[in-house]
Amino acid sequence: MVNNVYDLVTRTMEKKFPRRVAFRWVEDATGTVREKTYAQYARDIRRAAAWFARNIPDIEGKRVALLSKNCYEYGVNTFGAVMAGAVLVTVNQKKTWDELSWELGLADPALILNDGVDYGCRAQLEAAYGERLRPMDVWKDTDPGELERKIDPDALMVLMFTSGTTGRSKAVMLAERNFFTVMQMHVAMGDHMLDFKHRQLPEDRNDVLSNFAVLPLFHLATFICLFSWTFKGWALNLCSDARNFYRDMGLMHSDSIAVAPVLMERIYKDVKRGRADKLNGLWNPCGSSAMFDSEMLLRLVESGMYLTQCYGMTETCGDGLVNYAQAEPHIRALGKPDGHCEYKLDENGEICIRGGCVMLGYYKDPEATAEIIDADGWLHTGDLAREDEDGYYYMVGRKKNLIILGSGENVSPEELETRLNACAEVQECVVKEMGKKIGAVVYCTADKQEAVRAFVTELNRTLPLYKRITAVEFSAEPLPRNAMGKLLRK
Amino acid sequence: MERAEIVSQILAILEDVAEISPEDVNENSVMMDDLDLSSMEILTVVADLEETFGLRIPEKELRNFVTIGDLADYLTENAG
Repeated sequence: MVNNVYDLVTRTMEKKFPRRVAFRWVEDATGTVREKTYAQYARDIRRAAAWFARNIPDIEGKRVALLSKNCYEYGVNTFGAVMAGAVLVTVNQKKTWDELSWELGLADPALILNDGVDYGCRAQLEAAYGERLRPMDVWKDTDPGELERKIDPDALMVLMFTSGTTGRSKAVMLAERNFFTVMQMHVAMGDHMLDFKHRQLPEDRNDVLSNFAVLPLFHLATFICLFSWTFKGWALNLCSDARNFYRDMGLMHSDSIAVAPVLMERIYKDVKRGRADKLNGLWNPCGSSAMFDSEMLLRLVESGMYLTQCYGMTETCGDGLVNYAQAEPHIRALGKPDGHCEYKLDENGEICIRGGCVMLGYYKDPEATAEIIDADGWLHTGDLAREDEDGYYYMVGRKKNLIILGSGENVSPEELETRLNACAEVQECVVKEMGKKIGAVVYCTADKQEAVRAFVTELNRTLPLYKRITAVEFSAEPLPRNAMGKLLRK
Repeated sequence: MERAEIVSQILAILEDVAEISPEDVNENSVMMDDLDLSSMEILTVVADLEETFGLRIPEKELRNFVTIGDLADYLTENAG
């Protein structure tokens, strides 16, 4: 099996599947579907690698950041940058300037490739990074160059940000070996999908599948598809904006889709309301790192869908547990260990993972690294689980103080509490998960409640959709604390 | 276009996307709180409004949409 980026480009893309479609997307200007084959893709990767090598002096280890919606060039730049020797940094382009400037400051990129869209802080970005900001297709007029196999499999190759539990996000350091360790699980998952398709849709003889990529490529759950779908020679149907979900799905038949809970619910509602035709033949929603409502999952199975579920973290390159169960009782489980790394529940019931999937550490943060990876190399996920007699793991709680939302985003409550505490009327507050959303419990006097509500509404206007505080409860008493004086979050 | 007409279009789309009865919505309704809309549902509503009114709402404007009134304000100002 291919185990490095060089072979993935020069063997899998160029020799094995050159004529197959690698990407599709809907061009906004014309509303028509564009395609790129693996041969075209590899040629552009060669252009990009040549451009980076020529334009970034002493490129080895220098950071190239991507700040963009999902697009074809995202894949080109990913492989082009790492083949040239750079470290690729993926950044959420919709973050506030406070967060973006922190992340870019930490990564200190030599270059920021971006889509040119103003997500709310374009002016600050240009003022801070000026010449270093370049378009995503900056290499388009460069001749394709030679590629060399020079990536050290154990060296930093990709930096991805993850929400910290104490405020600032942390940059996860991933090496080439992390990505190719987890490929075994992804290839097996693709085989499971084909088995289902052969059983369920025997008349459909097309075994070249496609994946609707609407979750952002800066996030590992989608980013990993740049590797795994190439392995199979399958296509990624890119959706650059969730607003275009139905338009793009209608124009590009897709077999599979990686979903966060809100998307799974959206699909379920369409099926339930007799609107499955809007999904244009989609049959494999793949849920990740969430406990889904099992009634919903069962109804989707009844409607003819094949569900796959994965549990993993950016810190394990997405590796962890996988669930192919289509019926009770296991359909509600996170899944079973996928067998190529070591897994255990420690004495507290925390899921721990060890092996080739585990990250190198957090960038420039050895303390945080030591907190999550112990001396024996076990990565402590922070998720508490139980294991049943059949080897399936079920989530029972979370050790870390982090809100994981239905949209798949992780949010640090402390970060929002800091923002809320800026309101003079707030005497104390706790931000926590309420239902499936972010809520705040605020201690203030009754006459100040309106002012606090108004403050929250204004605060929400400065936050991305997923991070908004959508419920506020008031307490006339000081909030409960433990014996150490820390606010209780339950 | 009259604001009242815009609001009634918004209500119709909300009913279609999220099965929320127009009687349960007013301009002060907070989309993620009072109406319990998910971020995905809000974006679907926005996409349908864009199609209905024949415009594209810039990314940076999306952050300003907290209440139904915010949507109506934007459309009153920008829809032809």
